Amino acid sequence: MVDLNTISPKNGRNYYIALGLEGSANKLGIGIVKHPIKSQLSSGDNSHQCDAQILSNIRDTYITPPGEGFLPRDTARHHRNWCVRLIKKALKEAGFNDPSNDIDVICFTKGPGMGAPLHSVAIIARTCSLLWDIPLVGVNHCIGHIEMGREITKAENPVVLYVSGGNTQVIAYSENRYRIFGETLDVAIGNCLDRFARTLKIPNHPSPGYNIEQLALKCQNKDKLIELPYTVKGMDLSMSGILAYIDSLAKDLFRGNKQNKLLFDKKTGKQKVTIEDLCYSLQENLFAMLIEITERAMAHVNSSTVLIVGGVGCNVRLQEMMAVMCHDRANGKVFATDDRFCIDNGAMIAQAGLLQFRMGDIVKDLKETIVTQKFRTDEVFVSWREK
Amino acid sequence: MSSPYAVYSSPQIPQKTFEVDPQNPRYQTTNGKTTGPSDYVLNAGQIDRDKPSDPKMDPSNSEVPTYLSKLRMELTGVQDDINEFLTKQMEVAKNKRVKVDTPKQKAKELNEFGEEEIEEDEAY
Amino acid sequence: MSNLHHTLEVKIPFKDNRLATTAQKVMATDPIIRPESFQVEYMVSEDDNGTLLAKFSAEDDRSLRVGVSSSLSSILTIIETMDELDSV
Repeated sequence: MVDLNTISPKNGRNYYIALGLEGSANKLGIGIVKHPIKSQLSSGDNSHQCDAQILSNIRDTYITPPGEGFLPRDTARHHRNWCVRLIKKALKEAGFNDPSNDIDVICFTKGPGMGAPLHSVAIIARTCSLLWDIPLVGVNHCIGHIEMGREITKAENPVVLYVSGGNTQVIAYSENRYRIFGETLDVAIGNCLDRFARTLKIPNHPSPGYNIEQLALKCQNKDKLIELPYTVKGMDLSMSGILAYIDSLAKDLFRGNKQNKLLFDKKTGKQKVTIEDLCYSLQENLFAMLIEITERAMAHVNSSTVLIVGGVGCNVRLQEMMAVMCHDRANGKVFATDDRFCIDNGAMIAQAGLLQFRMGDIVKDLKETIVTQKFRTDEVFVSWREK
Repeated sequence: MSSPYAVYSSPQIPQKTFEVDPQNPRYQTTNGKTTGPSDYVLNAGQIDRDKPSDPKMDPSNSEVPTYLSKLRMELTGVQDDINEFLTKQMEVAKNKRVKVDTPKQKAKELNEFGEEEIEEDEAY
Repeated sequence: MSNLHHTLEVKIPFKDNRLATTAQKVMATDPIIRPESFQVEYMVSEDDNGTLLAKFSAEDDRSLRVGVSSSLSSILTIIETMDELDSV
């Protein structure tokens, strides 16, 4: 039986406070989350109803010039140089001026992600823990997304579609693990969109994927989809071939390669396809693949609800397409969050970390805080949920 | 002694020390010369908005940095000194090797060296 | 270890044993990625009060530069964290 109330909050308070530090990719996020003690959490499967309050949730994104990706070294420098300032701002927003008394636990992202950025934030988490004498919890980034999504949407036991710059997974809970039903065999969907944005040399601000979504909205030929490879393989999918192909189309378009009859009229040489059309077709194609494997997972576990998490989860078109699929199933429903919570953030690390902390799962030796680039979702024992 | 201090030694150079000169502006900044953004993004037009934070001033005397801020600035200068020295040593080592090679190899190596990037990620 | 002849010792005076020990613990946590070409040891020196001593050794100047600079960047971050967030 799951009892989330066995660990007492600090100083006899009736609530817990967690500081969450996230820096696994190009976003640096600092969040502070409060959980009141709730008697309903002493038993049952209620970890998605913590009545969490977000006291602060600040993010700063490392953004590169159009056409360029982010290097681990520069991203780590961004995190290193901004992290302390952001922690100070988050503490102020939450109204805390004595962290060693105010905070119960410091949660940081242990992985998966880029090594150098993860490490730069872990260094600060360790230092704060020792200075303030507060326990640490290392959080799996993917679990952070799932638990934040469940808490915000109150989706009790959904199939989770986790789509971001580094991950593409269809997940369902079973016997204390978030099990991966299907995933990408090569690049993540967000990475695929980001890299196409670089080929197009469109800005990386606010995010490359958002800018592709906006271009796709301007497509005038929505009835004429450009045929792209459709590469679902059982429960998994592959996207690198699609990326290579659409990249070559965009390059032909820029070069004005009239030999390409898909893009230019055979006789007149007139351009038939625009960048907007490419963005639209790319999204439709990739999202259709995601919906197919999500639906298959729902059929498998007999679930009617989907929770979309991760940065690509903010894409309104993806949410729409998912809603259409769910509508066709009995009592189907899609849950999603807005950019505050679906894009990488500190609050999600605090939320998942606080659940771990309340189950007594804290770092006992600093060696446990060594970050890891590879850390699969199903490696985590989910002690805060019923079997 | 209240400033950072370093001593280097190698088979070629028995001893080289790095000391802080408190008057030199090099030891009075948090923004190191050798720890900026990579050339890769600078060449692509990146404007650096991720510089280290400014030093914290002593609450009782706003003219003077706190002890830890002073330490941070001095160590930043020492880090630059060490990085510049070691980069120079790497060039020396490389040129030495080139001398015994054929002119063709030499041209190739020099060309490669011009593009050499110090990769720090793998070290963290 | 016998072929790591390029060495550097850095002394960082925190003037406070608690802070020096904190920095030492934070830095000593991480494993060395390529121990055959680079090593580092962190200690708090017993004669100098509150001084962190970092002893680096590498097979060449290149490995030394990469390892030392990244380590010093981390120590600079730790100092900033103490400066701005230590509540004691």
